[in-house]
Amino acid sequence: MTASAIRKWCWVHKWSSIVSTVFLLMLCITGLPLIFHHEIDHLLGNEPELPSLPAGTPVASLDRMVEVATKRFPDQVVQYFVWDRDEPNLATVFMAKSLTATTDYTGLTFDARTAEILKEATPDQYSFIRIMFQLHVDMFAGLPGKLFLGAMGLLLVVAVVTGAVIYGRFMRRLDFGTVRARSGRRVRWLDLHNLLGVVTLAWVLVVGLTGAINTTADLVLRYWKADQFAEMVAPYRGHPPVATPGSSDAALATGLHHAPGMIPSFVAWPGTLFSSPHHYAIFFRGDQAWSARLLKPVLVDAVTAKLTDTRDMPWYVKGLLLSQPLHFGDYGGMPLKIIWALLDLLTIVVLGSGLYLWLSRRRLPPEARLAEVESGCFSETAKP
Amino acid sequence: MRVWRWPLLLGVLTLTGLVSALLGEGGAWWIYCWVALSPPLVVCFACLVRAGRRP
Repeated sequence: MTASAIRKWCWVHKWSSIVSTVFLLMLCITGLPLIFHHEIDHLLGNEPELPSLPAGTPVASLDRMVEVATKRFPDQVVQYFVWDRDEPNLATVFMAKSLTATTDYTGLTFDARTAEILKEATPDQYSFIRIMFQLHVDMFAGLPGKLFLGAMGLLLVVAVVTGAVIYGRFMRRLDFGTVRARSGRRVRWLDLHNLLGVVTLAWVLVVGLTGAINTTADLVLRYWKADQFAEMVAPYRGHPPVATPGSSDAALATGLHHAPGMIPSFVAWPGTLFSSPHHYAIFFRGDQAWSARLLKPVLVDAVTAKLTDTRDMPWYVKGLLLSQPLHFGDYGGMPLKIIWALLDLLTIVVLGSGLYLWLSRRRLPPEARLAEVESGCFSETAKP
Repeated sequence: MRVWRWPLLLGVLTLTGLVSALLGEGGAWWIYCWVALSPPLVVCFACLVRAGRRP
C-alpha cells in the first residue's frame, strides 16, 4: 500500500470518527443501563409484580381488559394490546389521544388473569430507563433523530473498517496485543486503542450495523404497509372505516385458529398504524428460538371476525426483526447481558482513546505530525 | 497474515457466538454463545496484565 493510500485511509478514519464519536459515546453510555432495563426497573420498583394465584387460573378476556382501560382513561383510544414476552400473565394495553398518534402513549399493564391494572405509565412519567431509552433511540427528536443516529451508526462502520485497514498496516512490526506501557502516554493509548478496537471489531460491526438498521423501523413499516399489506387489504379499498369494532376476543380466536403453533405477540386495533381501518391485525411469533423474533400478521375483519388474509413477512421486515436481538443482546440470558455490557465498556474506551489520540496529535509540531503520517499514522518518535 | 491470525480467530468466534443464541434457546446454544464471546475480554485482560509485568 502506498503512503498516499495510507494517508487517505487515515483521513477517512479520522473524519468518520470525529463526526460520530460524541454521539457514539452517548449511545454506548445510554445503552449500558438499557442492557439491564428489566433488572433496573425491578430495583426501582417500576416493574409490575404479579400476585400469586393458583396455577391454572384462567386468563381474562381481551374485551374485559380493554373495557377497564377505556373506563380508566375515557379520553383516550386503545391502539395496541401487547403480551409480555417473558411472563404470559402480563399484558399491556397502549392508549393514546388518537388511533394514529405515535407519541404520548399511556401504557396500562394488566394481570391477564384478573384484568386488574398493575401499573400505569402515562406520557408525563419519565423514569430513568425511559429517559435513557429515548436518548438512545432518537434523542427526543422523533424520526429525524432516529435517522441521524442511524447515520452515526453507518459512520461507525466506516470508522471500524478503515481502522482495520490501518491496523493491518501498522501492526506489521509489532506482535498481536502489544501494549507499550512504558513508552509514553500517547503510545500506550495508541496500543490500547488498537488492541481493544481489533478484539471488539466483529461485535462492534454487528451492533453498529443492526443499530443503524433498527433506526429504519418506521420507514420499513411504511414501506410494508404500501407493499404487502396493501395487497392483503385490497378487497376493502373504498369501504368506509369501521366505526365500532366488534369483539377483540372473537378476532383473537380467529387468529389463533389460522396461526397454529404460534404465540400471539400483539393486536393492533382497526385504524392504527399497524392495521387497516377495517381489521384487527394480530401479530404472532414463532415458538422456537430462531422464530421467536419473527412476526406473522393475521388480518381479521373487525366486524365479522372472519379471516381476511395472513402471510409471512417479506425479507426486509424479517431482516429488521432479526437485527433487533443482535443489537439488544437480550437473547442469551444474564451471562450474555454481562458480556454485552463489558464489550460496551471496551467500546467506550476505544472511542475515548481515539478522541484523546486526535486531540493530543493536534498539539504536535508540524514536523512530528508529518513523521507520523509517513511512518504510519502514529509512531513512537512522534510522542509528545 | 500473521497480523490477522488472532483478530480473525476472535472475529469468527464472536460471529458464531452471536448466531448460536439466535438459533437455539438455552442449553448448549447459550453456553457456546457465552464461551465464544468471552475470548475478546480474556485476551484484553491477558494483554494488559502482560504489559503491566513487562519491565
